[in-house]
Amino acid sequence: MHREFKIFWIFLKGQWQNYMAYRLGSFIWIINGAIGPLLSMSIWLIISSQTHLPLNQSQIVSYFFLSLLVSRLTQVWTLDQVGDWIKDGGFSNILVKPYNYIIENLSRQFAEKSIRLTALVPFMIIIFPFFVSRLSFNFAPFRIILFLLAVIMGFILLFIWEHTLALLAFWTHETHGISSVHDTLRNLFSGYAIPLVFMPGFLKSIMTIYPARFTTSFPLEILVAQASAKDIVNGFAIGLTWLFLFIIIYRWLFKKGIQKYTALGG
Amino acid sequence: MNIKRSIKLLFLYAKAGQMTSWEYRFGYFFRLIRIFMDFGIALVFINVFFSKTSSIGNWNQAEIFLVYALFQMVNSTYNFFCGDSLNDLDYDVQKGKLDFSLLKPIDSQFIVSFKNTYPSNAYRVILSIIVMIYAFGQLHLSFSPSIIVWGIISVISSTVIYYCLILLASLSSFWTSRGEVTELMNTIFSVSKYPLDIFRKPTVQLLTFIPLIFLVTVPARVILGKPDHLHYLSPFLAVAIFYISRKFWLLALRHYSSASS
Repeated sequence: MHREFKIFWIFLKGQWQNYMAYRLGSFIWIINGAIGPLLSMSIWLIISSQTHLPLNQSQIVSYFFLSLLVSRLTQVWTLDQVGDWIKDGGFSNILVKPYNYIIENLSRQFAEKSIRLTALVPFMIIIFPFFVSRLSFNFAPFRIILFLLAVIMGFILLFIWEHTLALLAFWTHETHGISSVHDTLRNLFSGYAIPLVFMPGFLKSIMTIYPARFTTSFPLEILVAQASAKDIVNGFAIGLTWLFLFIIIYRWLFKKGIQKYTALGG
Repeated sequence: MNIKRSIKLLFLYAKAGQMTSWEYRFGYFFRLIRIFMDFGIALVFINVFFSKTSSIGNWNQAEIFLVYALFQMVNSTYNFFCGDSLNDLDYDVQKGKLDFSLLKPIDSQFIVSFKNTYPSNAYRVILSIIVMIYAFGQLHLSFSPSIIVWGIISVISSTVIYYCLILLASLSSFWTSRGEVTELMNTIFSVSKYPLDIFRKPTVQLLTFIPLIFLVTVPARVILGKPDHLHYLSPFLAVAIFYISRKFWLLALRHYSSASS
């Protein structure tokens, strides 16, 4: 374990230097990701002024304001990356390395995330005055702790999920099509635009069990939407089930895929 | 520039684009699924909104369907011809590959804008027409000749404005060698899949100034017969922005220095 941590740390330092070169990019990335949630928020606020919704106006504002942070914390960039390695033969480099490449990817995610989050904080401070009158931030301490645990679970879940999908490239030769379908479904069911409580019956039951819910919606249900103890326990149970399921499928696909893999190029 | 030759070239680019997209069959299949999903999910979003209310601003559900269809139509027409050509401009500038476009005996802006066409966007155009017909069926609109003429003019102007704004955004890569501004512009445009006059007045004024409101909201208002004078402006705006973006393209080229090999 000590060795793994050392490898992780070495990569993290290298990647930090890499990403520090593009600080402007981080800021634009933040604005880019903020437009969708802020648009959804405006529309839900307009609807909320016309009719009664399960969340009040200040909960809607808090939900989408915090969703900027949560979706950025859980976001990963591995599907296309690993898929492309398999497609262009770069995966051979991984197979000959004397450590699990997942450690390298994890450090890459941490480096990119920590650099980019430094841009998120000033951005949230800039837009904060526009929302401050409607934000309500008095959360019970146990909700904050569960919220943080849910964010960590969401990140690990998505990380393994995308790795699992990426391995399909052994059979399909490219993953950009898969990733675009994956992203579209994730947009619908992550709670990024529609909070779970606003979903009508049938879609609500799909969203409750779809793994994307844990990348944005679930932490915010705990913190902002005042989810009941039963819903929280159920949520963690569903999330952890998916997590273990993806780990098992990943290992199986990896074993099968390696047997099929032939490197391209020289 | 020779128009006949340009059209022939555009046709060749479209053919090459089609062949590239067939290269990976799974990828192509998933992209087709994605097109249907995009429409399906957007309609689900609108339905979820309207499961809670009967109108957003002063737009009802069928009118918002029409706005979405118009957005898809303008967006897909742009993507049909330009694909991700301009999104890749930063890469060409950074690597010095733009040299290859500049050396060809045809206008460089033409090549840079149209070299990666995405013909599968034709499906999107067809789907948006279907949604539009559905919306018309729900709305029982009456079309006077002037509405038809101004509808067509404002949609064409909107497509031109769309292209020019993306071009202007992509030109930033000549100074920064990065493509994030283009990406940001695409995201900002996606806001116009909803009617933009539902927001508060200062926001609407800002969106008129940017001029995001001309992309979809103005044409939609013309077609729906909602009183508005902005559409008289849109063709002049299109010509003006086209002229400005051309000037900026030439300016950016003067700034370009090829990377060493």
